[in-house]
This record gives sequence, structure tokens and C-alpha cells, in this order.
Amino acid sequence: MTHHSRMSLATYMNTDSRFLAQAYSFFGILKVSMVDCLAHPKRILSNFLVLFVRVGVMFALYAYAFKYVGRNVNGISFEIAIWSIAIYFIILATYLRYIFVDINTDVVSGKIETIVTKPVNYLLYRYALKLGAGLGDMLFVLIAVSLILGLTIGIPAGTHDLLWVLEVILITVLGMVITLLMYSLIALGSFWIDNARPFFWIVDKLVLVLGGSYVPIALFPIAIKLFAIYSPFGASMFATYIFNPDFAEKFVTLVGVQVMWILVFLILIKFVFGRAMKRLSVNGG
Amino acid sequence: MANSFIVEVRKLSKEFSYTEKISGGVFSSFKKREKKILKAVDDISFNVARGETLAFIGPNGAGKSTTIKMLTGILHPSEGTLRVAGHSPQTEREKLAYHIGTVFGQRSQLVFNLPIIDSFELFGYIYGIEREAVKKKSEELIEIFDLAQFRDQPVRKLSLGQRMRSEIAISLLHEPEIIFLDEPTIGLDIVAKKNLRKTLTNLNKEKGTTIFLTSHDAGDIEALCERTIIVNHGKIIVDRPTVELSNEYLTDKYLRVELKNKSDVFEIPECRDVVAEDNIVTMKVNTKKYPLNKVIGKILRKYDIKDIDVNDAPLEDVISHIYEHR
Repeated sequence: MTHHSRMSLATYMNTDSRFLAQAYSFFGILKVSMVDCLAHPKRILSNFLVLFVRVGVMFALYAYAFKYVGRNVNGISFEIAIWSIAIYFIILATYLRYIFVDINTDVVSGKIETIVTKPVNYLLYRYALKLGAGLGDMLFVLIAVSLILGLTIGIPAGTHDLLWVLEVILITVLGMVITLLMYSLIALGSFWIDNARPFFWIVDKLVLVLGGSYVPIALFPIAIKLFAIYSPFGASMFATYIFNPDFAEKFVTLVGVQVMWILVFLILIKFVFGRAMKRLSVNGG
Repeated sequence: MANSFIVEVRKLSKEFSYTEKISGGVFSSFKKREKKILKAVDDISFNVARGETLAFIGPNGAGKSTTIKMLTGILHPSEGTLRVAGHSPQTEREKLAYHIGTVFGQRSQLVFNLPIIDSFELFGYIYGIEREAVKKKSEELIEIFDLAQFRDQPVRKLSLGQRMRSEIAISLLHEPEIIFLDEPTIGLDIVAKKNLRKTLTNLNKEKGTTIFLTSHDAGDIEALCERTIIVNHGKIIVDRPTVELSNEYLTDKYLRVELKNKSDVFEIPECRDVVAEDNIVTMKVNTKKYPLNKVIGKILRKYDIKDIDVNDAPLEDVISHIYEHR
């Protein structure tokens, strides 16, 4: 019997590069996930409404506070404060942090077995699905919130040229990578302990505070500001810093911190994931 | 030349450790607990030939799922060696994945909110298959598994039978040499089961795909598998061609006698479990104790017979007999 022809990427694309094969899979999975996400406009709309309410409440509170304190607080204007908070919530709309829930559920329910029998890296597969769904959500929210804030309070003063846009994209992407790595590292704890959820909540609240959800990083006291900048919790949300007057000056430091945390998390995940897979135990085996 | 065995297992064992719960007061959980070892798979060896159809069965907790999970690279063995399609599932998991298909009856691999055609696309990316090849192959599978009428419906709207057919179809997109089916007919109605078994039989015959099945449904085993391995307490207790199981492990024959006239009494001492309904009487005969020809002769002499059928014990009875007695 002549057996089946193998239809691997290596055969079809005339390459033996594992990196290219993984990249092809990664972006393909991301695309299908984005299509899946965009197939539910009602869900996207409800996400936007939640965000609208949250930013709206902050808008009202800060408008009231700035009315009494003055035009600038610690060098930060009302517009910058609101845009910083809005960016935090726009990034939050990607729900990338729930990569923890996905991995935790896969491990606890045993669903992980349907993925580890495929020729993909389990974590890359999960990241691609999450990013696909998250970017679909984020795109809509980004456009809607930018329009609303742009028309109501305008864009904060400063140089917003092409270089600035590229810097914003870079710092946002690096922040997202940190979010995925940090939360998936906690989720891998499910291989050792029954429930890693308490660690998820601790990290989540640290990101909430140090990421600048309710108070922009620029308004923090110096000690907390330093901790926010040099910890991964704040580094995952550096995009909230893009309208700050000293963004251009701090850009290299911010990117340097992000790259450092990405490297640290990559090393930890490689070590932990390898051990976790050997501990894998699923129902009925 | 390719190895004639697609699965080679030698002295395979798998141990799980767990801590024993101490009964007692509220704070008993804080005491030092004893670590226990459970041997789920205990020193088993077997081969599976390319193109073979194998049922790997056993009662709950026998070690069958653990074995399948080691063969597919999900679990790491404690001892022993195994190769599937020429690869080590533990050290070459990703390479092996191109050669195997897996269907876990109770877990879906499909994209829940999108039509199955999108799941085909997703699997195409996972296996690195070119888009044109994915289109061609998915159309072929849609036809083979009769998925056309619901190809555009989201997976969440499919019936269990439709979903299961889709699960198996999608696991064949990359043309695996062997497919591991874990309870593929669980929850399906009789017609859906029959259709699925027929499709899988055709797949094996036409494409030569090796089928490695685990199921609690004797009908699946009878219809699909030429060989059966039964495991219990982590060990292989039976490894035989499926058709031989009845002869070897049950000595009962099932008789169905159609009488010309209805009889109120049907008494043949060698027969047991006699059930009479109108002029049809069914019964069992232990052929080890009573030669079948003599029992039939006795029935023919005593009653006016229109027809008589002799059948082997149903496979379900054979399997339950083996589970209970070995």
C-alpha cells in the first residue's frame, strides 16, 4: 500500500524552518480567532458599553477634581489624565489577561490533550487564539473611544508624528507580550497546585493599580512610580504613558524595561513549561 | 522500507503519585500526608500493524486511556519504550502529530461559534497545509462524512451525531497514518452509530488508515475491529482476533427456535434462560457441557419445528464475562 503523502508546511512551502512553520500556524490561528470574534457584534458592543461606563465615571471624577485642583497636577493636564486612563481600558478590552483562565481551564478540565496532540506549541496556540479575539475587540473599542474623546476633549498637545505612532505601536505590542507571558506563567502553576487563581488576582490587582487604571502613573508618588516603571505590572501597561510630556525622553528606558521583562519571562516559561508537561495528568489517564 | 508496525510498545508502565487524605478533625489536612503510588499501566508490550483495526478496551480505570495518552504524546511513561509511526511520542511530539489523528469523544476540537469549514481552515493552519490543499481535502471529507447539509451552521448548532462526524472528519484533514478514537460513538443514536462505523470501515479499507479504538460499546468493536486487546488493572489480559473472543471465552450458544404451533411448555433440561413468546423460544446452551448437535436433535425430536437459528454469544456478554473473570 502506498501511504498518504504528508502535507506538512515543509513539504508545501519548500522549507524546513520550524520558525516559519510556527509563524504560519500562529498568524493563521490568529486570523481564524479574529473572524470568530468579529462574528459576534453584539458581544463587542456590550464590551464597549462596559468600557464606556468605566471611562465615563473616571471622566466625571477627574473633571470634578481638576476643577478644584487646577489646570495641571504634577505636570499632567486633565486631557492627559483621561487619555491615559482610556488607553488602559482600551488595552484591557483585549482581555489578554484571561489567557490565565484559558490555560487554567485547559489544565484542570483536561482539554489540553486536544491541543498537545497537534504540531503546534501549546502556548503559542493559546496566545494566537487570545490575540486574535482580543485585537478584534480592541480595534472597535479603540476607534470608538478615540472618536468620542477626540471630539469631546481633543488630543493632548505634543508632537504626534509618524515616529511617535511607531513608538506607541512598539510599546503597546511589547506590553501585550508581557501581559500574555506574565499571566500564562501564573496559569502554569495549575500543574502544581489545585487552583492558581489567588495568584492571578494578586497580579491582576497590581496591574490595575500600577498600570494606571484609576490614577495615571505620572501622578504616583516617586517610590510607587519607580516600582510601577520597573515592575512587570506597570511595564505591561506602558502604553498609558504615551501622552505624557516626557514620553519621548523616557521611551528608550521604557522599552528597555519591557524587553528585560520579556526575556525574564521567556526564560522562566521555557523552564516551567517543560516541567509542567511532564507533570501533565488528565482524566482517564 | 517502512516498518510494518505503526505502534511498538515495550514494557510500558505509568505510575501516578497522590497523597492520601487523612480522615479526622478540621486540621487533619495540615498533617503530613502519606504519598501513594498508583500503577495505572503495568509492564505492557504489544505491536499494531499498519492498516490494522484494533480495539483497546477495558473496564473503567483499567489503564486504556493512560496508554492512549502515552501513545499520543500527552503523558510521559514512567518506564518502557514506545514508538508510533517511527517517532517517540515523548521526545518528538510535534513531528509525530503530523502522522496521527486523535478524537476524544467527550472533548471537542472544533471552533464552537463558527461553521465547520472554518475549523477545517484552523486545522489547515495548525498542520501547515496550503490553502488550496485544505479546500480540496475538506470538500472530500465533507462528502465522505456527509457534512454538506450543515457545513455553514455554527458548530454549537449541530446535533451530537453531526458534531462527532465533523470531529472525525477534521482529524483526518492531514491524512494521518493512524487515528486514535476514544469513545467516538458515545451518546450517539443507533443510526448515527451505524453510519459512523460504516464510514470508518470504508476509511480503513480505502485509505489504509490504522484505527486504534477504545470504546465501551461492543457494537463499535464488532463492526470496526479485527483485533481486540483487553486491559485490566494496567495489564493486558487478552490479545486476540475479535472473532475468536466468543469461542475462546464463552461456551454459550444462543438458540432461537420457531415452533410450528404455539406450545405452553418448552422443557429441554440442557437449555437455560428460556424465554417463550408466542411460537418463538430463545435459550442458551453451554456447549462445553452439552454438545450442540445432541441438544438440537433432542429439540427436533420433542417439538414440531419450523426454523432454528444458532448464534454466538453477543460480544457484550463475552467482554463482560472477561472483565468479571480475569
